[in-house]
Amino acid sequence: MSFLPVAILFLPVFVSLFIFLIPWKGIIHLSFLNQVALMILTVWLWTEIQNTQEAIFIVFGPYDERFVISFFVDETSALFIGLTVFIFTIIMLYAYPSMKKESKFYFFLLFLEAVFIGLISTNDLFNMFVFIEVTTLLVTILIVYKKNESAFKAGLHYLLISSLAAMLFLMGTMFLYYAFGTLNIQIIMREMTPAMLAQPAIQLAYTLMMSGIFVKAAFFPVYSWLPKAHGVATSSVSALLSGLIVKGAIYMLIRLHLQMFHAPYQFSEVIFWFGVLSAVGGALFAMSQKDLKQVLAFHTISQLGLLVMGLMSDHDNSYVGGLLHVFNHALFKGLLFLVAGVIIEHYQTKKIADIHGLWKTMPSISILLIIGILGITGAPLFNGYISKSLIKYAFKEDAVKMLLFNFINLATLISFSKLLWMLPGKRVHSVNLSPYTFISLGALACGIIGIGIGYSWIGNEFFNNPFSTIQLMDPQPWLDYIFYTSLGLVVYVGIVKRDGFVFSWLRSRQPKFNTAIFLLLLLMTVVGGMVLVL
Amino acid sequence: MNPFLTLIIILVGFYGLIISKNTIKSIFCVTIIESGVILLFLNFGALQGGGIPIITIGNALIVDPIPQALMITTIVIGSTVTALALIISIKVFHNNGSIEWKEIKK
Repeated sequence: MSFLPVAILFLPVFVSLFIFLIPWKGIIHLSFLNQVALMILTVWLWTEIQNTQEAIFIVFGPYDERFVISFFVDETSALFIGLTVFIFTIIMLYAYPSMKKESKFYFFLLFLEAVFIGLISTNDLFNMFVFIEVTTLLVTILIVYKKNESAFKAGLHYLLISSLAAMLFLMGTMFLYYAFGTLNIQIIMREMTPAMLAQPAIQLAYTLMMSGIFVKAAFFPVYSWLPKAHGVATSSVSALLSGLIVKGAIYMLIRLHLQMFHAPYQFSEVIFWFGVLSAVGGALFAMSQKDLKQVLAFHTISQLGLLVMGLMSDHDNSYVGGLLHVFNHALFKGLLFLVAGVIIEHYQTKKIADIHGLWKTMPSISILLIIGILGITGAPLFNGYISKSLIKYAFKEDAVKMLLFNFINLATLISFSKLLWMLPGKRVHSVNLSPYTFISLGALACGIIGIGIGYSWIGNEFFNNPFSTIQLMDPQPWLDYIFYTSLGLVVYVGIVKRDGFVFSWLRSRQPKFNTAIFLLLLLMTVVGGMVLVL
Repeated sequence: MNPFLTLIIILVGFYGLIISKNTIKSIFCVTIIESGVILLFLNFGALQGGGIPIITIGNALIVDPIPQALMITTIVIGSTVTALALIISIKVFHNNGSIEWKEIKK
């Protein structure tokens, strides 16, 4: 069944070309048909991999696999492809009422979907670089799609810094080609031995590739593009960026750092501390923000740090927890961004302080917002709790890491208490919401609650791990959550709400473009130094 | 060609990115870095006195064709990125009357 990954990649390409070329407004409905077909193909792919118990490996053309493009799809890739198809379906449904006359928007979305699936399933480093660059281009076009003034600056910032990151990745790629004579990830993986990491060419390659991936994953010193881009894009594009596109870098981190380089545990430990820095820093910046979308954008940085902490821990449960958090984060952050989009559209403001009476005005949207908040803060019965308690598993013996983890959790609760202040108040105006909005948001909310309750089935079916360490009946996590929530509310009302000078200072400290490049060079020096020392 | 020369080109690009206050200059600094990378990769595949990589009779010395094939792709992608970035900066100029990073409205 080796045609499946190829079919999944090329179907959206052809459909997007049809949508672009045929000048008939109804043609965009073809994209929904395409999504249904992709879902069927993805389920087929998953069952195929489950039945044969081995990854699908395709070489394009009758040549030596060392020199040609090849695809490699294993269970992790299939899960990421499933997530891609799901999130794109949600975004297309959500955008339908406002974008149904704009077939170009759907063209870009479908093309981005194809390119992103290519990034996940490719087994060739140069091919991966091409997909990174094309993703960057398409995302930039989507960021500036509405053509408002502030979007252009953010789009330019994102385009330049991301293509610079891709250049660093390319440089690393060619040092690997210099050392191995091939660009095939599987072959490099087989030929790479831990002793080879002492060679200068491979050390340089590791440094350059990791720096590029760090920029794409918005790790702490080089995060500057993410809040800018999320702040100005339309809500559907923000949700897409936060829920999916940054996960591409996380996927590359798994594929390249953990699998291809066989990086020793010390390197993972350093990336773990970068994750801690992102998680703490992102949460602190989120606390200081007053703009609804900026709070969510900085939380993306924070949650990415958290899931990297899980992925880089030396424990199977934590790794699975990090992987599950990729999916959970896509669900709840997608939901929160889309809900924020509905709120901003009806109140015509992004300032949290100006939004009142959400509960009386839009009760159903308020319930969805609360589901999203419960998910991201890790309440029992919701999906965030499952992945966070799995990530926490490796920190049980380490008091410092446990303290940091609890601090991150508390900071998340503090900054999301800010959003609860939008709920009370009088009814502002009557609203009519489109059924497409409800279908898309409801599907995400169902995913959040579904993973939270049916976690043991999900674990057995998709992650080969029954998640048996999680006990929902145990009163301990419930008491913990209530304790941290009340502590978070007290800290919010007592300290954060007064908006002291620390928070206004943090708010004004956003790196400019030149500073961001300087920080990128600094990051490269740190990663290179780490490779040399360890 | 000495690989250290290409390293200097790349570093010049980074220096320009850190100091330039103009978006057009920043865009071209990215292009300079890209040129450095392309030269460096072509340098890896080069061979003193090597022939062109097409089918020849016998065991003639040829240069490695893969870096050349890959770099043509990189040049194409790079020009696309430059084009898009320049289009955006034209839009920025129309909106603000300036292309300095500082003066662009937030």
